[in-house]
Amino acid sequence: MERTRLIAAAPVRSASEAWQVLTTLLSDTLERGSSISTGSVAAVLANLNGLGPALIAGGHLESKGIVLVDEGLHLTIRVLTADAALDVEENLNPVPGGANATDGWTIYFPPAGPLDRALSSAVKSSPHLSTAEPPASAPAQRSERAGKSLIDVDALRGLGN
Amino acid sequence: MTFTSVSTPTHTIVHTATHLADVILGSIADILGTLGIDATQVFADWDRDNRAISEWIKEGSLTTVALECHQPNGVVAPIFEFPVSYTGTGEGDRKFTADRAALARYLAKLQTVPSGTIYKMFCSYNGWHSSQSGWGPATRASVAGMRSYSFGTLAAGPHASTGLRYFTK
Amino acid sequence: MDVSELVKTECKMPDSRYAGLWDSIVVDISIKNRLLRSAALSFRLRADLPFEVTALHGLTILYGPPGTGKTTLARGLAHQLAPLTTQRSARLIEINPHGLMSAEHGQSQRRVTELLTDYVPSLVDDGIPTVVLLDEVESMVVARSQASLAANPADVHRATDAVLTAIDSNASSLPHLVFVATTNFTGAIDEAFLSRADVAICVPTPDAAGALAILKTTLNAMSESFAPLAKLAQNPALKQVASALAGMDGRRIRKTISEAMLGRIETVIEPGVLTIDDLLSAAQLVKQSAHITQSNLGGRNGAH
Repeated sequence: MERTRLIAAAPVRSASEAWQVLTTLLSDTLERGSSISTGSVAAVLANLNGLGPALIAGGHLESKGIVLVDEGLHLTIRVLTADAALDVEENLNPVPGGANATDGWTIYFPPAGPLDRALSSAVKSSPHLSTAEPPASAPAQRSERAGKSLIDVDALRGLGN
Repeated sequence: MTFTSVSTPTHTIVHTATHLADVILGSIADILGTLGIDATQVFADWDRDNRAISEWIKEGSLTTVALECHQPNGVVAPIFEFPVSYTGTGEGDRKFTADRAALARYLAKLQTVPSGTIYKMFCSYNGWHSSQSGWGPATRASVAGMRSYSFGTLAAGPHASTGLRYFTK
Repeated sequence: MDVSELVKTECKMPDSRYAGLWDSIVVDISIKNRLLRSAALSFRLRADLPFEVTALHGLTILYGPPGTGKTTLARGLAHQLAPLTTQRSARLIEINPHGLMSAEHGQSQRRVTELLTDYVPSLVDDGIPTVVLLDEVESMVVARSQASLAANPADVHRATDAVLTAIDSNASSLPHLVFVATTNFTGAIDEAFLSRADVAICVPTPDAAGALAILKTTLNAMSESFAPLAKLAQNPALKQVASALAGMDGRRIRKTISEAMLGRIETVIEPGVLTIDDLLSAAQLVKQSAHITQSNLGGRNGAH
C-alpha cells in the first residue's frame, strides 16, 4: 500500500527542525524491523545534514517528496512550506510495514533543480540513498513472514468438537 | 452605535522570522547551485546561519542579507541582496508567501561565473543587533557602478517581507 | 484528537485480566465454537491464499439484543486464540467508534482512514494475530440509505465509505487482522458493510436452560464471599426462577440476584441468607418491569 505523510516546515518549524522530524519518522519506521539497527537510519541521513534543510527551504520536497521503498513499504514524505504548512495535519506515528523492513531499504530523492549536483554527490555516500526515479509500488515481500502459518494446526486439533 | 473590533494576530514574529530565514538561505543555496559555486559551507553552517538570520529578523534589526560571488580574478560579481522590510504590527491578513517558481525562472537567466568562484555572505543592520555565533564585523564589496535588477518581493509574512536584488558588472 | 486516543485497549494475550471473560458468558456452545473457529480459519486461510481466492475480509459480526454478552465474547476471543497461534500470542485492540464520529464536521472520514489504514496497521506491524473490536459498530457504518439530511449525510457517507475501504484494504494486506463488530441494531448498519462479513453470528437471549446456567454460575461465583449461596445454586427450584427469566438478556438475569438481595434488609446485611423465595419474587418483579419498559418504549427490533 502506497502511503503519504506530510510534514510542516516554515513558518511552523524551521527547515532544520523539519529535516529532523523527517529523519525521526524514517528512523522510527524502519528501526522497528529486526534487520535495522538503532541509529543506523539517522547515520545514513547524516550525510545530508545541511543539504536536507536546504532542500526543504528551497521547496524541493514540496510537490514530489522523498520516497522510502522496501519490501511491502512505499512511503512518500512531502514537506510543505508557507501557507500550505499551516494547514498540514501531521501524522508522525511510525508507518505500517516498518517492522518487516529489510536492509535493502532505499530513500529516493526528487529532482532538486540547482541542488541536483550537491544531492547526487551526497547520495553516493550510501547505497540506501538514490536520486533515481522510485518504483511506483513496493516490491512484494520475500521475507520470512510471507506464507508463514499463523495458526498451529496441532493446537487446533486439541479443540475437538 | 459604535462597533469595535479587535484583530488578534494568530502568528507571531517568530513564524515570520522562521519563514523568511528559510527562504533567504534556501534561495542562497539555490543561487550557488545554479552558478556552480561550491555550497558545501552553506550546508555545513546551515543551522548556525539560519538561527542568526532568524534572530535578527525577530529583533527587527536585519536590513539586508547579501551574497557576494568572488571570482578568481578578483572581480566581485554578481552580488545578490535580500532586503528585509518590516510592517510593524503584524496585523492584517497577510499570509506566508514564497515565490519560488518565479525565483527558479529568474535563476535560469543568470550569467555563469568562472570556475573557482567562491561566495561570501554578509548581513547589514539598522542599529543594534544581537551577537550571533560565527558572525563578526566585515566589510562588504561596493555595488557602485553595477547594474541592478530587482526581482520584487521574494517572500512575505505578517510582520516582514524580503525581496531580491541582483547586481552585475 | 489524535487518532491514538480512539484506541481504548491494546493488549497482548494471554493476559489474566481477560482469562475469565469467555467462560463468563453462558451461551450455546455452538455460538462460541463458530466465533472461535471463524477467527482461526480466517488467519489460516488468509495467510496462505490471496483474497481473490478466499473472499474473506476478516470481518465477523456479532448481533443480538443488548446484554447478551457480545462485547464480552469479542473481548475474550483474543485470549482464546492465543494458544492456537504459532506464536502463542494474540492481541486485542478495542476502538471507540463514538469518538470517531464525534469529530468536527467533515473530519470523520479522515480520522477513520487514518485509524484503520495507518494507526491500527502500525500497531499490528509485528504480525501477531490480532482481534480488533468495533463495539456498537452501527455508529461507524450508518446505513447510507437511511441517513437523513439533518444527520449530515455527506459526512456519514464518507465515513462509512472510509470504513469499507479500510476493510477491503486490510483484507489482503493484513491477513493476521480480524475485525469483530458488535451491534444491537443490524437494521441500522450499512448493507455494504454487512455483505463484507465473513460470518454473522446471532447471540440471542438465553432460554430457560441458559438462564439456569447463568444463575448457577453467578451464585457459585458469589459464594466465594458468601458461602451459603453455593447451596442455593443447587436448589432444584432454581429452575422455576430460570423459566421466569427465559428470554431476558444475560445481564438482566445476573442482576436478578442482586435485585433479590435488596428485597429484605436481612439479605442486604448478609447476602448469604438469600432464599429461593427471594429469587422467585425478584424474577416476577424483573419480568413485570421488563414488560412495562418494553411497552413504554414501543419495543426495539435489534435482532436480525
